[in-house]
Amino acid sequence: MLARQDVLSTIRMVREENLDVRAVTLGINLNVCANPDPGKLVQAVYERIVAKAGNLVRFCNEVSDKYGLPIVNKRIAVSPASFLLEGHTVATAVRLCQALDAAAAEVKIDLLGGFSALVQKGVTPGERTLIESLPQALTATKRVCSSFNVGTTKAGINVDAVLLLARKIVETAEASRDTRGFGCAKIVVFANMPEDNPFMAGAMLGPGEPECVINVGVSGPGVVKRAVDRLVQLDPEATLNEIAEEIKHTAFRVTRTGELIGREVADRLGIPFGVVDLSLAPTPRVGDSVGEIYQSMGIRLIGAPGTTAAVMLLNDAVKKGGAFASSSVGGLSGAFIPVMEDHALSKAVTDGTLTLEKLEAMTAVCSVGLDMILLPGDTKAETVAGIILDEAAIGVTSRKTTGVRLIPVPGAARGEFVDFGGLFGAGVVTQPASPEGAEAFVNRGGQIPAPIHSMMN
Amino acid sequence: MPANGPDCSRRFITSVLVPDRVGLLRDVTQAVFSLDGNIESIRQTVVDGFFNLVFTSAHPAQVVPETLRSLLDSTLESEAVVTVLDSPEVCKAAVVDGSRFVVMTRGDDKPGTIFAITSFLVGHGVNIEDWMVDEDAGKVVYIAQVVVPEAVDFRVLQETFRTAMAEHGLTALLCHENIFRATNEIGPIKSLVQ
Repeated sequence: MLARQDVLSTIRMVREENLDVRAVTLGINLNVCANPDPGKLVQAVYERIVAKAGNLVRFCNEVSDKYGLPIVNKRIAVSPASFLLEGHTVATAVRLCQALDAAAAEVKIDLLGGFSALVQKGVTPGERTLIESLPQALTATKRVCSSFNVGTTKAGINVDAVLLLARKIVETAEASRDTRGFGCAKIVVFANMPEDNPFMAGAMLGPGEPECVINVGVSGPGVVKRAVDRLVQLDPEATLNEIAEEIKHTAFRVTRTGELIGREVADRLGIPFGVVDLSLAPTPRVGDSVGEIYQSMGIRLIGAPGTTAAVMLLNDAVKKGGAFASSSVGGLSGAFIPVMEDHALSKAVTDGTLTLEKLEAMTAVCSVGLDMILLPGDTKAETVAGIILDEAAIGVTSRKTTGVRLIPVPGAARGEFVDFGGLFGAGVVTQPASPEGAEAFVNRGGQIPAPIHSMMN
Repeated sequence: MPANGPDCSRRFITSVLVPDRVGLLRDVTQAVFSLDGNIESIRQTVVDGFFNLVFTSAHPAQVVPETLRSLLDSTLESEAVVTVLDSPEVCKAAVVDGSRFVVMTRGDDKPGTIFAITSFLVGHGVNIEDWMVDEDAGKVVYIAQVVVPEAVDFRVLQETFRTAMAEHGLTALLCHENIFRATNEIGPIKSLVQ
């Protein structure tokens, strides 16, 4: 028999603390669709996605109702589309992106990831074709997300690829001027990119993954915040290790809900279950913010000295709780700090307590990187490249994933408010303390070698 | 617990209701043991100061229900209410197979609420296995573990339950028990899904 308090605490997590499954993501390998004929290629891609994902939303809704637990997003991550584009043109890349978009619409998916390329050590013609197509492809589609791996601890950082991508990010912003550069909200540049990440915009089905697989992204910043609040209310003198312990216990419970949902959806689809990505992914809603957790810990002004330590504590406790909860933890698993998508972080940037440089420091100990950062419209490609390189350097040298999602807003200046609506949120335009001054370094190109500790064998 | 030895051929189900005190469970089990009985399943709780015990036990063929009842009557306080029935397995056939769900309602404490909830559940073939009550911010929370027959569409049941309870001023939910087990137990999730 269930204990009364166990039932009540679970119900409270769902009904009052915004516990949900943030994303059930169906991974689909598309390599079988490769074809030298562009028409046959895009048709095969469309048909394969519709065939594999046709029941995803229905099954997710059934499982969600069964457990009384919201599944906020149902999504698809495909194998890197660049694999299909060798020997093809930019026009075919755009057609392919449109086919992905149409398939996602057909199966009622809001976002599909995997218009991607892994270029950490070099760029093939097909990968270059995909990158060149970005401004056109991402403005001609609504649902497709694009991601790139420009560095790994084993390979170092491909500076040529970073420069190429930085230019395309600037061009994509300009191409999506009428939506204030929103096209760039669908581009993530990673170092040490995970192959099983279910979260957009960086989701893809990497090499080495099954043909089809369900990966789940759980969230729960509201649950963690309330747990910390309760602890501090009961014991105002609670120490940081006691707070870490409370977060760990909460993360355990959150992780297990994700695995339950993921396994059941996978079972119904008749495909393997992959991983739970235990990431505290905020939404713009009050009560669903990672920044609020730092405030509950005692960081009154986010960005004040001590904030990075708070991020480290949270990120570590989440991982430890998740690792005990499930043997299938993967993806990014940690704390996200997407500025626009988190009202507390966004406010801190608006108030000037949280700067881009402090955010960068926080990314050294969080699970991802500089995410959903609005930049002035006149930001140069070299500046974008420099930011990507700095983040990649943190990831490559510390053996962790880092990512960058930068949005130069055409025509916007520092301090201007921009609202994308929905889960993408709102915020003000910010910029580095010194936006320029590293052009010569960045433009040298080449490859930043792998760090010495990459030689592990 | 399996019956101890080949001679345990009679099974009883026994209930005991008596004002609570220290040592009641020891006294009851001592009586069972003295009749060579083996307790197979047991559930005990205290409601508003009243000790409430239900258990099944296996005994040698010569032990009859009246033997156990008399012994308990003489052992316990005079106000104790003891019932001993023979062959409890006969009752098992009446319980429907299905999936276990948890029902919760929350609302004001007023007469007729439990009747409304149980009437709804009975009307849909839902068997109540366990019932708990709690208080939360001045509201009464009822929690029940129930078995929903396989033939019942739980999504329809959820919706009609919410609607029906809303007419009584109650917020209500009905969801599968695995969500509670997943968040509160440490066993592999895979075993829940299977």
